[in-house]
Amino acid sequence: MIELLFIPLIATLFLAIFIKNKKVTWPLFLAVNGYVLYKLYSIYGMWSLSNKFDIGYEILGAKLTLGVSNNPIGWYFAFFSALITFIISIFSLGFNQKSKENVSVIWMLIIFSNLGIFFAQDWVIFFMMWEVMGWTSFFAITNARDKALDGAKYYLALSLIGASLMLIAISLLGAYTGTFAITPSIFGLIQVINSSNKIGIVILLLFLTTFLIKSAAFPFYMWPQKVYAEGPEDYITFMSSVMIKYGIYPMAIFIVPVVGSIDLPKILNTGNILQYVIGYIGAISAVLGTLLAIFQTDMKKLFAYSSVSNMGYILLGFASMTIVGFEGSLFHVVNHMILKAAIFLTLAAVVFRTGESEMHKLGGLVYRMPLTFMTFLLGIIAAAGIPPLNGFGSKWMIIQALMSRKMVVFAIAMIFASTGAFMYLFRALASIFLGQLPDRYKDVKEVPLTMALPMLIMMVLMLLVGVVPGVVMKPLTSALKAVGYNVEVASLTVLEGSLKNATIDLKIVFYMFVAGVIISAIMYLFGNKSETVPQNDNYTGGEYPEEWGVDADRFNYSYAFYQPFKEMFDPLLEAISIDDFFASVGRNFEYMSNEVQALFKRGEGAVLLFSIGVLLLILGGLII
Amino acid sequence: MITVLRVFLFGLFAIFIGLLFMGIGRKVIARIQLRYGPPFYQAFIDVGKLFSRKSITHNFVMDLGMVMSLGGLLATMLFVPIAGHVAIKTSTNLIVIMYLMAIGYLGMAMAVAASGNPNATIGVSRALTMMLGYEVPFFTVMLGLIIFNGTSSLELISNAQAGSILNWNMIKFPLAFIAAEIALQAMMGEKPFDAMIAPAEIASGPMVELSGKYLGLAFLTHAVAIFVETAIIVNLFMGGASNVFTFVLKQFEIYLITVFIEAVFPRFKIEQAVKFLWTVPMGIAVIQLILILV
Repeated sequence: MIELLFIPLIATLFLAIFIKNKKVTWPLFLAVNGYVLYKLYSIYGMWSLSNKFDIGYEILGAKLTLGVSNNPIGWYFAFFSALITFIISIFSLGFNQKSKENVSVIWMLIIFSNLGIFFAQDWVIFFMMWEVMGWTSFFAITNARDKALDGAKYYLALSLIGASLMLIAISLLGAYTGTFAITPSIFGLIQVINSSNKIGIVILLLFLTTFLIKSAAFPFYMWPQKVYAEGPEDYITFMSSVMIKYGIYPMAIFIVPVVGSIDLPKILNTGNILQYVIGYIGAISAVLGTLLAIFQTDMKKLFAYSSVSNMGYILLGFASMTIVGFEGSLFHVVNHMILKAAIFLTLAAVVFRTGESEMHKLGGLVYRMPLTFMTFLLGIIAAAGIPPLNGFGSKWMIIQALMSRKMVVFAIAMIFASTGAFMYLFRALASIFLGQLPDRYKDVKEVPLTMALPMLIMMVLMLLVGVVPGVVMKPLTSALKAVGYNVEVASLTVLEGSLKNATIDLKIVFYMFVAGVIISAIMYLFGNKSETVPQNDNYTGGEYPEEWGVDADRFNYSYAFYQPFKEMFDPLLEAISIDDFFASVGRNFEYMSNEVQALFKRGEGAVLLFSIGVLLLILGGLII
Repeated sequence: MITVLRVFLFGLFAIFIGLLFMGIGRKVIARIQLRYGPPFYQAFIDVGKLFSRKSITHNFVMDLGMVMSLGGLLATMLFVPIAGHVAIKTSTNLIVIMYLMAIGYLGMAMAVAASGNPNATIGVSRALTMMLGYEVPFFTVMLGLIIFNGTSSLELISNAQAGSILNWNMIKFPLAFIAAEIALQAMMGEKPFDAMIAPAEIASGPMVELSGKYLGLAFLTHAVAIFVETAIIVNLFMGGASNVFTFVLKQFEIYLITVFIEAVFPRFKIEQAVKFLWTVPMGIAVIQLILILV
């Protein structure tokens, strides 16, 4: 068990030594990821594996232990993260041929902390790994690019706030439940809350805030777009598909069991208050993420907001507090990993070949990059949640759960978000790949083999999980069963809903789709021949441009794609800009720190500092 | 083998009925506007002619998209129960039907955007905006019925209304029916919700670059869309039917309402349309939903 963590750590050292030599680092990176994937595959089912160090030290009345163990849900997250990471690292081989910077060292360190988070047995290890992940991502995002600094700072600041909140929460948890181990602390916290102790709710909310920050849910939805727009594209793929799930994992193992079993006042007999809080955060994230994605012009920002919206779906599944919703959420975690990785890989390929990420400056790339186009097409079909690709099954389960709990507002929010998803997904497709190819990109080539291969794998994965959801649902349901949830191990292609007669066989959906396409293709072949014409041979209102003395020009409709729609929402979006809110908080902080600085200048500061120090010492003594 | 045959028969049946409706619809509109109008089988002649003509394509995405669009809608059609018959044994889940329908629209949008004509892309951008407009009220209506029946299977909802006409959801939940009708008007892209076609403005939008068999496929897609959408409404609100003939007759009634509205209304601008859909039908649907919940 422990070697799983140590190999990436040692690999980091080697990568750091060979940082100048790209021919060594990236193959080594790939090899270590391959090893991690293989190792994870081999420890499936061995839930008793663990390594524990008892350091025999007590703090806040709770025994301090450091341990990692192979827990089922953690394995589920870790395995699929490792799978996606492995595929991305194949892509990185080709992608980083030309780049000057080398992100592999930091990235490997993040993979180490990734495994640590998923396999942590107690909050101390969890917090340490969480911290490692927080500051290392800062360096990975900036990666020696000056313009990425702003986004990275924003991310770092949010991470630090989250980490401090979690530190407080962990200390309180230790003090009130007497343990730092994760599983016993769940029962401890439930007891604390059920004995109507307000502090229990505070602990829960502190944890929740930290996790919401990491999963970019509603009040913290700004960091993905700032970070994804500037970071190195292959690392951003990892970040958008894998790292954004770090907040979801502790929610699944800690928040959901606690919220599900505490006594709190109920709303309309459907769910308790906290459930509704999580639900509303999810619903707002889903709707707001969708709306903001519709109005972006930068493709990476667009998909950053799409991630926010998808995190919203996952929270909605948690909020339903039914087993179908819970399974659906965890299933969506993996689906989103796969489809977002596929989409971001294609975006990385587009940036790699054209150096452009503003959608309206691209266009017509399907003429030059058909494979990238196909991957992107399947990716957006999956992201829109259309069968027979993945993304549908999990959304369907979540919405079934919401309907069975009569949470109508959440169900409508979810439908709004997933219909709005067609708008932004299609806009990206049309603006990047369809339309007319600008002359400056007429020499663009398809990506090299090392980058094409991961895309092909991604296409297969999306179709496979879409038609045979069992490949993900079987490990998931077995894992849930192993931790004590009352579930049956899922079958290969059938998904169970929670309403009456709600069973869908995705295999049949796939067959029906194929049947439809076959009938349609017969009709197509039945028709007369067609000839292919050049792209500017278009309908021009019955006039010939030459007769007017002008040349045919390239013209795409892609800048203000949804202008009338945007005008409807402008007042709303101006009213709820979180950035403005943070800016005002920042101004207040600045004001405060200026005041403090002024105190120092007048010499009173030293006295003040001294007295604060004394106060802290006294308080610290009292607590310990 | 039998299943394959059934699937083909269901597909061809939907295309046939859809085209027939389109032809009759044109005739009805002509009579309302005091014209003579084309014969009721005109749509068949049109499709035959289009498929026999030569056509132009810009790239393989156009071919792929058009095939995907008809294919997606035909696949949807196979999930909709027609007078209690489904092409293949499934749970006729409403959410599956709604999502599958989207792949047809996506294929069509992709095909026309690939043609490189900005008019087509403008049309698609409007169509997708409109989609967000009508999907939300329509889903709210469905949500009410799903919660009332405790199932999301279209077949069970339809069976629950068997017996007398008083059991029909149309009678029990008149508000939901009105909201669904308005949403249906937008779903079919008929006036006043035809901003995406708008011939005088953006040269028929999505259809601008389609010719020959591509336009023919678009016709067939529209025909199947009419069939699927009216069939969903009949199953949701009019209790399905005991035989195919009655079922098609009920579908035709629903289609006639749409055609009557189409014949006399002018066109909304796209933002007016979305605002209208989110206020009037959505408001009605929410009132009905609250009535069902309490």
